[in-house]
Amino acid sequence: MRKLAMVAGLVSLSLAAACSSGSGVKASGTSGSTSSTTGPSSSSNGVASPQVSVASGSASGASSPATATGGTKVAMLLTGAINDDDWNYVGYQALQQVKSQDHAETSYNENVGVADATEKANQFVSDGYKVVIFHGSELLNSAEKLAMADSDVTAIGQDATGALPNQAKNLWIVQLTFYPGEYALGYAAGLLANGGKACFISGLSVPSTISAANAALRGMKAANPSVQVAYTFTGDFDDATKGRQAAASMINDGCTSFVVHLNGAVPGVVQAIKDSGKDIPWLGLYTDKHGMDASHYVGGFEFNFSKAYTSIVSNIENGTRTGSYNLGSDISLTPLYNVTSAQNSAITKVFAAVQSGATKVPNLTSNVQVP
Amino acid sequence: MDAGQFFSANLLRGAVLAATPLFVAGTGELITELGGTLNLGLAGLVVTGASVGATVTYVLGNAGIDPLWGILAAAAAGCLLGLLISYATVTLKIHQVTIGLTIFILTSGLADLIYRIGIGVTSTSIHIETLPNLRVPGLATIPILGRVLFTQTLYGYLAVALLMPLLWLLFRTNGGLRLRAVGENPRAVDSLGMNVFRIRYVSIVAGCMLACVGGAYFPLAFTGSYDPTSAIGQGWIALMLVIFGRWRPIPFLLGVGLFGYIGALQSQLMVTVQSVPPDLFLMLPYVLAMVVLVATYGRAVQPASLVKPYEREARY
Repeated sequence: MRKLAMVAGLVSLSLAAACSSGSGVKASGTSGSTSSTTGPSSSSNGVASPQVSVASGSASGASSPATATGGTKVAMLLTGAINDDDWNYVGYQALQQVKSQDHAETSYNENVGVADATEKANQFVSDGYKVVIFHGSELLNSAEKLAMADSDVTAIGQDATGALPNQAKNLWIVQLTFYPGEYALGYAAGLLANGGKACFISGLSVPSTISAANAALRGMKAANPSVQVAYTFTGDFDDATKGRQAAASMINDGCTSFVVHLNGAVPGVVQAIKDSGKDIPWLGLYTDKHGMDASHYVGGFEFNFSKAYTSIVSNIENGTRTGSYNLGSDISLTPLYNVTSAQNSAITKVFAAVQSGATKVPNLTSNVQVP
Repeated sequence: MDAGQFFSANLLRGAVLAATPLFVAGTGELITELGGTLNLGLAGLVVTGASVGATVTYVLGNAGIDPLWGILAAAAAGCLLGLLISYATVTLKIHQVTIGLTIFILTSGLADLIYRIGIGVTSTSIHIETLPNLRVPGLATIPILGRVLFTQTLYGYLAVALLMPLLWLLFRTNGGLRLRAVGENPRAVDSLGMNVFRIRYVSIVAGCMLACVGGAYFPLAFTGSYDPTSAIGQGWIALMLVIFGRWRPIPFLLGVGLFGYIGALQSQLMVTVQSVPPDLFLMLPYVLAMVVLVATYGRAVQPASLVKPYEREARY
């Protein structure tokens, strides 16, 4: 009897740990645990190699955007739910665009964790899917594994640094160029911190988010060199409970503005701000979240994944099965709310400057360095 | 982080907020297990409560309906699932571990399905109305305690007001004695003319209802969103806390408080201690629980008839 109690306790504890850390059983998949990408840490923007094509804002490698032959079976693995109004929703939207524009047959799997991605990708491959999109930089290892294991399938992964050294001939990389946009969001947070503390909050500590954190912190300091800055990684982009607890801790620690680089966990941060009773402005990514928090949300930037994936799939259908696509110029600023016209103008100007390259933002992916 | 910050009002308040769903769901499981039924589907019930609560509140929220209706809907879902589990374990006498894990798998998928059907895929931000904080006049101004205990949502106040007396009733009244007797020696209870099956039914349904209500806390009082991962994780922790508490109310409450505190502390440490990788702090609650479980192993005495179905005609 005692043994049963002990075993039950240990089993439930293990499952709780697994679920909370993101690698346990979940309704339709598992959420991810920490995973490192294999891309090099560099401060440069993408690496060109003889084997791959590197372009900014578009995929090169095809002599022309030839007519899509259509009929390709394209699958997508998403790290969260498609109704998160965030990262996974834009991925799902992009897949729908691939379906309509490239006349592809599509399917997707939600809430895919790092531990399950390879298996789920193999399931799609065994169902005849020839292109598998790994929508999440934490899934890059699985994308590489798939590419190496099956030369008939083309994998599309994501990374902060662009083309990989020794990139497989059937692997595309979408370079997640968060850092220019994050710099602008950081600038806005620094401007709106009102002399307090501007904070950056994200989920997993992977190169793309480390790069984003570094850019955001530098943007904060650029807006106001005397502003204090802080950052934290909750360990899960989609755990709203952790998001709320982390944001509450940061608010208790003096944060007066936020750059929120989370997905499903964003509502948790919103709740923490509301619970504090303080007027704390925040900025986010991927979609306009004004409807979520009209009183405090300022704005964010959006990535055009639709353009990226449709372009890549077209190239794949035309025979170009490897390359690198830089999302850099495919980002746009959402409308800005809860700011004065002067602040609006300043933030928009900084965003335009980083977009055009007039303001150079370093891509620091190895570790967060507080300026 | 200096010593005083370990007991700051904000941290302690965070602990209370984190402990609340564990308290509600764990009390439900305690009631169920004291009656002799091990409900391994608890985590699935918690996430189902979160899903039903979020979906109903979101759908009705546009009509200005209070989030409390979402909590009631979650309770109703818990009752239905409790009846299912009761029928399977008490009437059909299916092995409780089997049915528990089956229910967990079923409800985990059901929860996501309910949410997807109710909310769908939308391009607009999903805004789930949450319960507002209610400050108790006068008491809310007490230093530290005011912020910690008297600035909670209605959910928090009701949880304490209803469940604390319930725990007292379980161990200080004849009704509670009957329930515990069913969990220890159902044959003796049957010989006295009391309906063992009905008592087990009631304990299971009540436990499942509280489990779902505990799950509804996340979207309606804590995060404003449906997050199955953390709900399932909290469900498993609540199950473990009953064992940790040795099926007694005081140790159970101490465990709830401890886990709530560690949950809040881990977030605070991740923010203030930047030199340590945050992943180490994420491990804190589970490392602590392992240590305590091992330390209390020898003293844990579960209800004698836990996991055993009662058969009146069986020869023992």
